[in-house]
Amino acid sequence: MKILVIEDEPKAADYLRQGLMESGYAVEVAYNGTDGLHAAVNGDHGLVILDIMLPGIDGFAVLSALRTARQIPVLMLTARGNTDDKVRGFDLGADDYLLKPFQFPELLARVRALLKRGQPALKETVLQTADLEIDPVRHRATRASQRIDLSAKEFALLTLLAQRAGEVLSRTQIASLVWDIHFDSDTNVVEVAIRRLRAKIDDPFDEKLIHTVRGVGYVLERRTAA
Amino acid sequence: MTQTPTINFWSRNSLAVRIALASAFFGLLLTGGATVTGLYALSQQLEIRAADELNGKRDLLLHVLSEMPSPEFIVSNQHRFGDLLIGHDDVHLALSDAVTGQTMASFSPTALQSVVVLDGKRNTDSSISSWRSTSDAQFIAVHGTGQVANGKAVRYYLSLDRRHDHVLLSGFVRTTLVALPLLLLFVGLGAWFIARTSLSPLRRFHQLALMVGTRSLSHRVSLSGLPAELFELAQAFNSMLGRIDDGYQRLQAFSSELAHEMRTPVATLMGRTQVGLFKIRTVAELREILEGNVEELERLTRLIADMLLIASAEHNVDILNREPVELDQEAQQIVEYLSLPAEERGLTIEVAGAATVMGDRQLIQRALTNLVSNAIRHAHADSKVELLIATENQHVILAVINVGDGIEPHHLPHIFERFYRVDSARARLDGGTGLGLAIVRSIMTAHGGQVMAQSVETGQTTFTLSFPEKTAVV
Repeated sequence: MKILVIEDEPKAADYLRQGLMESGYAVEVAYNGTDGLHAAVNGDHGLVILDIMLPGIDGFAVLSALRTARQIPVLMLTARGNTDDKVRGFDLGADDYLLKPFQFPELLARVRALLKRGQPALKETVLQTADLEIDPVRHRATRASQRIDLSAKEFALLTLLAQRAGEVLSRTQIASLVWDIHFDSDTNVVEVAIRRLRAKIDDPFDEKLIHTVRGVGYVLERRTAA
Repeated sequence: MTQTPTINFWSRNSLAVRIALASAFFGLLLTGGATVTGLYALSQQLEIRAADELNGKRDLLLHVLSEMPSPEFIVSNQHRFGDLLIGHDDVHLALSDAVTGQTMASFSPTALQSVVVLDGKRNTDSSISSWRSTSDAQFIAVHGTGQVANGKAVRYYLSLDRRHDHVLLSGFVRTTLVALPLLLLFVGLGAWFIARTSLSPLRRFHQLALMVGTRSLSHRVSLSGLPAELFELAQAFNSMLGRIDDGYQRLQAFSSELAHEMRTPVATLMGRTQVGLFKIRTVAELREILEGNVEELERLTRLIADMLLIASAEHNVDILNREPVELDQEAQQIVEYLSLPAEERGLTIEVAGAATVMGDRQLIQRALTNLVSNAIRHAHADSKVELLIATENQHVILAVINVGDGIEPHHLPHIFERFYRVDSARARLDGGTGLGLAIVRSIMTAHGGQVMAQSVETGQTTFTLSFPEKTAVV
């Protein structure tokens, strides 16, 4: 899947390109509104990541011009968090909106969501990673065929990690998806929850499945011993 | 346009000149009005007096007439009528035969003239008419028919010259016209002088305005000897300067605090990155550096986000997305969210009461999270944290109560200030930005409410959110 990044700041554009490429996307970068609009109208991208503050024609102008030509998901980036900007962006047809500075895992999650949009949702089935099995419907988790007793939140957390196996989830994302708390706070809720979950899922077993990516978040995946 | 440093009392826009001109104008209206009224009253009085005099003369005349035996007798006894007129050179009399119309006696040329003029006028015995002589003198007159002793009718023509009255009136007008400009000048000058003297304290404001700058906000208007009106202005002015001064001081203190708060993580980032670049590092070492950097950057990010939230709440930007918020439900959600850290410390959290307010759900959640996580952090292990929701005097109150070491009284007034830390080292290790309670206060301010803190010696600490009446939903 190809993503067009329209961002004038070279360093920001570079890390977006690198991060997205390493997450398995093909990336094209345009450094100003004019080039970006041209590329977006004539290209075959699955998604446009559009910075609002661009020299020359700004992100809003690019968006409204693009909307007259093509229907393609647009994720807007901005350093300004006021509601007017957001409303204007959505009015012009933006699909999502992310405030700088943002955490990269959150950007990735939104990119995935936008690209997935329109495709049929996967039917909930039994999730499996290594010898860990989670059945969201029957609310059961087993590891090495041993039933693991989990609290509701622990189960929700484990299910989230398993659904996004291999994907690093930030603490903010986890707080938002498990507890419905949509702001950063300096509480250590997620750390404690992960620690509790580890005690039940990983500690009794040799192969550890929940990994901390320091400074980013947590991931559930099978790692060959490093 | 350049600003002149002195107040010009003669300029066209001078307040003193305007007041002087206005006073003179109103003085003109007043004296003009008084003169016109006076003139009118005087001429009315003079007219009444003249009419009385004329009527008196007529009564006398009719009496003398009645003593005359016959009309013929009148001609030979003219002196009897002449006596009536002695000392009254403004009274003119003529008599004529009522039947023939022949003039029997006339005591002046004017009297002769009056016969012609008055004969042309309708005759009613007692009515007073006025006429003008050929020399343009004005007269009032009565004319009619009287009877002599033998019953024969005699016509009389009695006129009164108004010349003296007119001289009096015109003298009055002339004097007024001469005196008025002088009076007005006097009033105007007086008003100008008074205005000028009373406005002179304004120079103090002027001088103050010239002195005040961002580096010198400490100047104030001196209140001594100010008139009452300006006294209030000066007080308001001084208190305004006080507020600006206070706000500016806080802003300055705050920006230096902010710079300091940002400098620490930036310095760490810079140092660690540079040290990392001194030598060739292994991937593991570089990874370690980056991971450390991300933690600092996260803190900076949160600091900036928190600062922006506080700034927008304090600058009255309407950040609220108002909806009915059921406080008990939000409290339950926050308690559930924070139940793990609470369990770690062996704490139980209880929620009691219920109320609904109009507010921003996410911001209220945030305020609650900050208060409850503080309570959890500072409560004694294995104690109880309580959340009480109640409606008091139409205010909705949410109290978060914990028992711990308590907050020392000298810290209490400051804990809602940005970056104020009771125990700085510890809070920083927790990863806090030092803005948690400042955010709570900003959120409550944005809702028109307030937050209060109370700590008693037994170690029970209570933070109370108070939502104003209008946000309460019945």
